[in-house]
Amino acid sequence: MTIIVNGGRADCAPGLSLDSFLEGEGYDQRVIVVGLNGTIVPKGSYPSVRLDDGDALEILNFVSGG
Amino acid sequence: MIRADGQGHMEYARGMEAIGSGIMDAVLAAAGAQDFSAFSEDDARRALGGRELSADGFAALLSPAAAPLLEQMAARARAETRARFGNSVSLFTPLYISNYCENGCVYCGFSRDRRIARARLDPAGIEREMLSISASGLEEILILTGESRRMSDLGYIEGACAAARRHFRVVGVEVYPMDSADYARLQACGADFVTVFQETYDTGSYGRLHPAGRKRSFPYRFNAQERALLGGMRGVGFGALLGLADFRRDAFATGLHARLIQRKYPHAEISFSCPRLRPIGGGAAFVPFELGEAELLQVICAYRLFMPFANITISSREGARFRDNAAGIAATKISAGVDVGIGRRGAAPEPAGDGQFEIADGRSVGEICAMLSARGLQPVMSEHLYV
Amino acid sequence: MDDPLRLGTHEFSSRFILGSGKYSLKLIRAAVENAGAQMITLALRRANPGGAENILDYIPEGVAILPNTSGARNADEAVRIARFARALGCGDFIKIEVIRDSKYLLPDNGETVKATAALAEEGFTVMPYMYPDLNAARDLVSAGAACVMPLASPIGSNMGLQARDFIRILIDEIDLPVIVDAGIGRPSQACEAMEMGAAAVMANTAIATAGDIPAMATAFRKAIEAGRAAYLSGLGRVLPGGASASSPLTGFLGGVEGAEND
Repeated sequence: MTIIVNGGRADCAPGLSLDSFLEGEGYDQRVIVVGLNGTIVPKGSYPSVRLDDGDALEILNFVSGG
Repeated sequence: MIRADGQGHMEYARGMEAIGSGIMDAVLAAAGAQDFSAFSEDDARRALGGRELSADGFAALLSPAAAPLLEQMAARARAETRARFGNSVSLFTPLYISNYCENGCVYCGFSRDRRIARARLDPAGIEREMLSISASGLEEILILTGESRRMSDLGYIEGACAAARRHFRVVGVEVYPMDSADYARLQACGADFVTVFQETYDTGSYGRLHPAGRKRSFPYRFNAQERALLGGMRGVGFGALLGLADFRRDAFATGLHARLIQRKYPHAEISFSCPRLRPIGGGAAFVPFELGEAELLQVICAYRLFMPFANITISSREGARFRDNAAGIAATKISAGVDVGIGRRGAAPEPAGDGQFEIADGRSVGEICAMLSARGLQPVMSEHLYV
Repeated sequence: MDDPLRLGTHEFSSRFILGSGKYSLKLIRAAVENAGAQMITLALRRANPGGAENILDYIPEGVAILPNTSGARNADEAVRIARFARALGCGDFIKIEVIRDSKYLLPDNGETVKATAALAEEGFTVMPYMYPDLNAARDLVSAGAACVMPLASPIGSNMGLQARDFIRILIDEIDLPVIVDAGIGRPSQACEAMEMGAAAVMANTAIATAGDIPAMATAFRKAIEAGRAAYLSGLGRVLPGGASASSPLTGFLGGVEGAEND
């Protein structure tokens, strides 16, 4: 199945947990915040969130800026 | 009912509208904390040389240490006045329509305890007086009553405002404090400026000087300007009757009161009146805290520097020489053709009522205009639109 | 002397807010330390998978994070960015920047007021970046802002206190801290802002584009401290030129009523 990650398309196994997806992609989970279809996902619930076809993820972190 | 036994003057009486406002506490705390003897001449000089006057700078200019700087204060006050108002000075006259009063203010000629000729103009009398005033060329009028809600009820004042609206472009009222809904009614009738003198901000003195009547409630009077603005008035006037208590502290509190109202209601037009306590009719002995003309001028200049955009009115309690010079320095409003009695202007069929105080400058509108012109100032009859 | 900068329920002894943009992560620690800064701004961006350095690792312990909403073009976007930022667990500060002008990058005060109201309601400590307009500043106060942050000149321009007179008006009229943000290019300009009564100065480009970044951070710290000290001391009097010994205005006092005395 296909999901949208930060505006781009990405392949994802059906029923994969958010936790596993992030780990597989190499995100440092300590420093990111994730929005799933517009809603912020609490950090503790990454393992229990299952990804569906067409889901849109926003994965953000802090960068330098004035 | 408010008791006359030295208690209760810091409370509202039953039925009085209590608006939630922190301004009174802020003013009383700041005024109470000022030590006017602690300022040095250099403090005053620093305040005078600064750009915008802080509350402490204002206090410094009111302090005895600023007295030697009066000429410099006047020069800067004149520069501020001319920068904001050009050379125009507004003319108006007060119209006393009733001198019945329910209050027992110790210092006042209208006090209910005084044996004076009482009168109240009926609608025809009001019309007659207004015609007479209007014929003098004036376009701004200030309607005054004694503080009797029975003899000058709201409907009566509404009628006077509506009549004034037909004869004048600008109508102000100086009547007993009322609720915001009442001010809204007066505004709807054509008045859009409310002046209330707090008399003194020294709460102890206030309690002693106002033993009876609704005026005994200090907070209700204090919050009158704010209620007037909530009622839709364009502007509000402030004044302490200088001489009732420590005039420096009273002037400081008056300025701060006006400043905080202006901050909270930035659209409001602000004006100061600067009355000194004068001898009253009826021969009552009351010894005020004296202040001289130099100290009065110091107060006026300090008001100007603290609130450069405010109107300042000089009472006809002051003599012509003082008023003329003050108009050249800081005052922007001056009354003309003044009579503080009731119905004494026109040939009234009814008996006239006695005045509240003795005026010292009874010059006519023409004479005041001629004086202003001779000083290079421009008499202005009205400069606002009632909307 | 105890003179804390109060922002909401937080207190700071430093009045220098440092921006972290446009310079290498390696220099951030030295810049923060030399600046004596207790607050540093960060932005929020889409993350890249794998290996990217974490900026938080470069920020000394105890320095407050002030996330901004850069990238927001309206209030709704600013609110969303703020919520994401707070979810990162670095506190409740948010610097609102709403910009829908790509040439001058001027903030949109109207949208900023809306975002401020929404975020203050959600419990953020809201620090809105604004164009120095008195009416908007009053609206921000009513909306629950913790301070107002007027620009001195266009962001990143190093043009200094072009908006000096309008910032003065805010300082005179607004009871919240007025923090001068954007456009401050030199320590002397930061000092002047503080002398005027600004509560703090935020600077980024001036330091990021300096020849020696840590040394410039030191220079700004000293300038901000000097300006604050001058403000608190009360600037000395300036003698007016052309003072005259005569009394042309007050000579009438003491005269006799009715006598001509001019």
